[in-house]
Amino acid sequence: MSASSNPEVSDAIEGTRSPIVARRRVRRATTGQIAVAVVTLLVGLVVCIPVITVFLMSLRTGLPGRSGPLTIENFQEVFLDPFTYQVLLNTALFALGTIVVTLLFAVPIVWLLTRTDLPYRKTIYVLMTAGILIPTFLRTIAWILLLSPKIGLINQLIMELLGLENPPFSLYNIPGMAFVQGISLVPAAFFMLSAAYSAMDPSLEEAAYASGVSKLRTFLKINLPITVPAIAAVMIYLLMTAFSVFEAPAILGLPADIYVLSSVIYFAITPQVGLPDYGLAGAYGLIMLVTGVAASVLYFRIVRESRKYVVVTGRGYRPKRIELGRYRYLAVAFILLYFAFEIFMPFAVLVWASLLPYLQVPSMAALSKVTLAAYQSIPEYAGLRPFMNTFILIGLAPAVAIAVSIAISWIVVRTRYRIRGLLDGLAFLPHAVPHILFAVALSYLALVYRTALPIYGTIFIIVFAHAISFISYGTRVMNSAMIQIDPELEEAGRACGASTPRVVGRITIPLVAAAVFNGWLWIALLSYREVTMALVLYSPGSEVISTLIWKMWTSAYVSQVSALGVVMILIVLVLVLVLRTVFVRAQMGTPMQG
Amino acid sequence: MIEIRGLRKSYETRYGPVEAVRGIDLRVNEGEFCVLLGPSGCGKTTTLRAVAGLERPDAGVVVIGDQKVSDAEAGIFVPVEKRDIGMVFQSYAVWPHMSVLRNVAFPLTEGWRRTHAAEVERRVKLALERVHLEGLEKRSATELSGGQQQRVALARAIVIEPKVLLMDEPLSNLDARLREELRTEIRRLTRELGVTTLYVTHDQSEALSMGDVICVMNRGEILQIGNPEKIYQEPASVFVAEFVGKMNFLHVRVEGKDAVSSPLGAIQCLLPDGFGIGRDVILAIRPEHLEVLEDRESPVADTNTFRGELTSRWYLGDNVFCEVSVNQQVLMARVPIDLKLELGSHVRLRFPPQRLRIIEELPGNG
Ligand SMILES: Nc1ncnc2c1ncn2[C@@H]1O[C@H](COP(=O)(O)OP(=O)(O)O)[C@@H](O)[C@H]1O
Ligand SMILES: [Mg+2]
Repeated sequence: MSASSNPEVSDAIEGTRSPIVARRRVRRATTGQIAVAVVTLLVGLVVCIPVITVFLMSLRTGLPGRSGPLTIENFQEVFLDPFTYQVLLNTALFALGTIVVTLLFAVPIVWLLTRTDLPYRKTIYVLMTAGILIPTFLRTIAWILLLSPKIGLINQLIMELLGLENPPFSLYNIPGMAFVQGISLVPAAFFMLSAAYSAMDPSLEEAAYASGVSKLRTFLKINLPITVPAIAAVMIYLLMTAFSVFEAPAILGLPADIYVLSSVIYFAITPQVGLPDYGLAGAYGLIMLVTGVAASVLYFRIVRESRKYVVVTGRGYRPKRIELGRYRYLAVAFILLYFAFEIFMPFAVLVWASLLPYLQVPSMAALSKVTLAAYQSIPEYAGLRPFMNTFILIGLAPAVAIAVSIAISWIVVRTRYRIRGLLDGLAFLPHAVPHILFAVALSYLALVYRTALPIYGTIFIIVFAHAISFISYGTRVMNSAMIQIDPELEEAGRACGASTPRVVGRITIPLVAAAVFNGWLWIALLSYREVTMALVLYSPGSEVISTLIWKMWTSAYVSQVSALGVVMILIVLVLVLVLRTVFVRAQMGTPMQG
Repeated sequence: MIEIRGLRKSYETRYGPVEAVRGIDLRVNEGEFCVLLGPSGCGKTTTLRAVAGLERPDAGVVVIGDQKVSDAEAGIFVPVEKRDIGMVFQSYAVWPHMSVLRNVAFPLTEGWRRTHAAEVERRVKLALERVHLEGLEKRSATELSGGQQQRVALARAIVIEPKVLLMDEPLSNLDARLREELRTEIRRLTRELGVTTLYVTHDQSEALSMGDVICVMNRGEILQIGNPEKIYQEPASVFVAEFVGKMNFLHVRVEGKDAVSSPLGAIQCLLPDGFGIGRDVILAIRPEHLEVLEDRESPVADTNTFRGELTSRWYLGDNVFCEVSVNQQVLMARVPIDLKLELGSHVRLRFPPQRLRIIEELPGNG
């Protein structure tokens, strides 16, 4: 189906529709219209098919590919089982707990950084971005090494020091999950909140003072109402994320038999015994999908509402920073505590555990046992393949996602085709679909069509899954970059006689090079740190580093898992530093002489 | 009345301290409209914000009415919310989560001027009428155009009938036509209310057309204070002269009680007292005061008249702006449109003695 054979599509993508033109149905579409229609169609297909698959999955029983009548058996099984309600309750409690933990750290830190004379602000910003280098599943494992009732170092230490019989902490419960997940989401919440805060015009506050209103009343009547939409948007974002994340709740829930929606879906298709039950996964998935889409709609509403609040701003006066005085070191200590939880302690415990044959409390005796054996044996148990696959994944997935995002964003930002709103929505849809669900749907599809398209279990289906799910990030980054470019720069190119593709290639993309690079790096990092989709989609031969660590963790190879974890973090650290340096050099223009 | 004495303020920045205001003395009389005029970054906003109480001065005294609101020496500093002021911001600062009505009523319902509902209603109605926004009370502030938002801000500032009104470039976010319209209205309004006003702008035509008094600033200091005529006709320095309009300058030497020698030749002018023979000064004349005449080919005998060549001309509708080169000096002039002059033709330039202004340029200024 092409645009020229379908008048509705042509009309829809034509910017203006005059009645005369609309009546004259036979009309030639321009090259631009055809290109836009093709892009929209392709994006629509790859984004919508997995969603539709979830529906179909939920209406079938048995193994993928088995055709039979559609049935509501799966829903009966789900909704008649009290276990389902336990799972929903767990999910809700986990989500609430996560939001509480995240905001408990994020809100004071945002306030301290934007409104007070806190020292070391630059360093704190850098550390906030550094947290992404530790994948959530590794942070979860590290916290288990610290707080597990059996082997956790902190538990052992406290028991030893206080002579306790029983370990004081356990991480294998919902508060434990919420703690690890909440800690991991603080940077995202931090950046969203501080962006909202700095978009606020400080003279709104000053105008209230100038009207003779006290500081407290101004805070209550002006600051608070204006920032409420932003805080609400962040809370809904956190809620959506907590509903769909898989890694922390799965690792911590499995030993204690505590399940949330995402882990139930995973265990439905990878049962310890018996056959995978895609129908059941589909039914649970549909619950997740509906809440996810509903929350997204709500999220969009609130964000649009809060956009209205961004008014013309004058020169960049910042309100005077509040002097912390002697509390400044208390504030720094609070932030350090957070970074200890998020970065330092997890990394330190991984390093420590990787150097010992078995986990033990630091002591002279333990120090004498330090060995690099776990590192030396990596080639033996891992081989080269997971590393190669990981590099294929983080090279290819962001490249595909960004290339598609550039095309989409250009159409959305630069053209007047009517279809661009739909395209923008389609590009954002993957954000509303939990990764676990997306992967399950893709794996189902790949199994059904394994003869026609033999990609099931290869690294390429993993690449595909990552590329599609991260298009929503890519288009957000590219949209905001392209909005900043004056359209006249492109028009000037066209006025010189250059064709549209040439103008985009020679003018637009070079102008947004920094955003392209940042978007690519960001998606590469997200791909690298994520285990969920790869875990559902991999087969022997297509494992990546993260799935290898996961599998070894389930077999309790503590030292090896820690060693691989440390290697994983160091690889990405070096990669980011090198890429950034190279890119900054390239942006400077001519490379340095000599 | 506003009185500022010895005001100083510096900011700590990454590159060290920046002296935004370096000792300012200014008095705005009761009911007067005073404009702070100067290039961007000269410290106008800082001065205004110090009067408002949004910045705490490093040194100096600020008096509003009969109250000393800030005195750095004595440690007096009345916070902004306790001062009897109305303020209008460049960015409107209309609260987006409130209706027009609630925005304007805010100082009367939330501030120290809280009063009963009937009175609030009466005064809000009056304020909205004064800025011609009747009927828009229920609108959300974000549904208004820029010009309307600024009217809301204006209504909010005057609803409390403050002792002084402070405005920081209130028109610079608006387009040219609206700017002119609101200029007139702000002036009418402040006259009606008789409120003492301090108005910040970098636009010289705004300053000249609005101010009772103009105070020209540069680099954190006041260069000249005076009424618009004085500032325009008798600028005290090259900087002021150039900032409020176009001006021709000639470096001249005093030759007698009423004569100077210039690169063009001898010029007769009225020298103020105290200019000794042999001093180097600057002779200034505005382009519209230079007389351009057709060349009659006869030898030039009249005083203060020189022959030159017309090197460029711009038709401006109500006059023609041209450049005349005399002895390698280029002078700007405005001539009536009916004076037909060809490019490259010879003309005569006359310097009317009563229009000439002698500027004693201080070293390091301008
Ligand atoms: N909050 C601030 N922090 C640092 N420097 C400032 C601050 N506010 C103003 N300045 C500096 O003080 C000088 C005067 O600024 P301002 O009063 O805003 O000038 P104007 O309003 O005349 O443009 C400028 O050099 C400006 O950069
Ligand atoms: Mg200013």
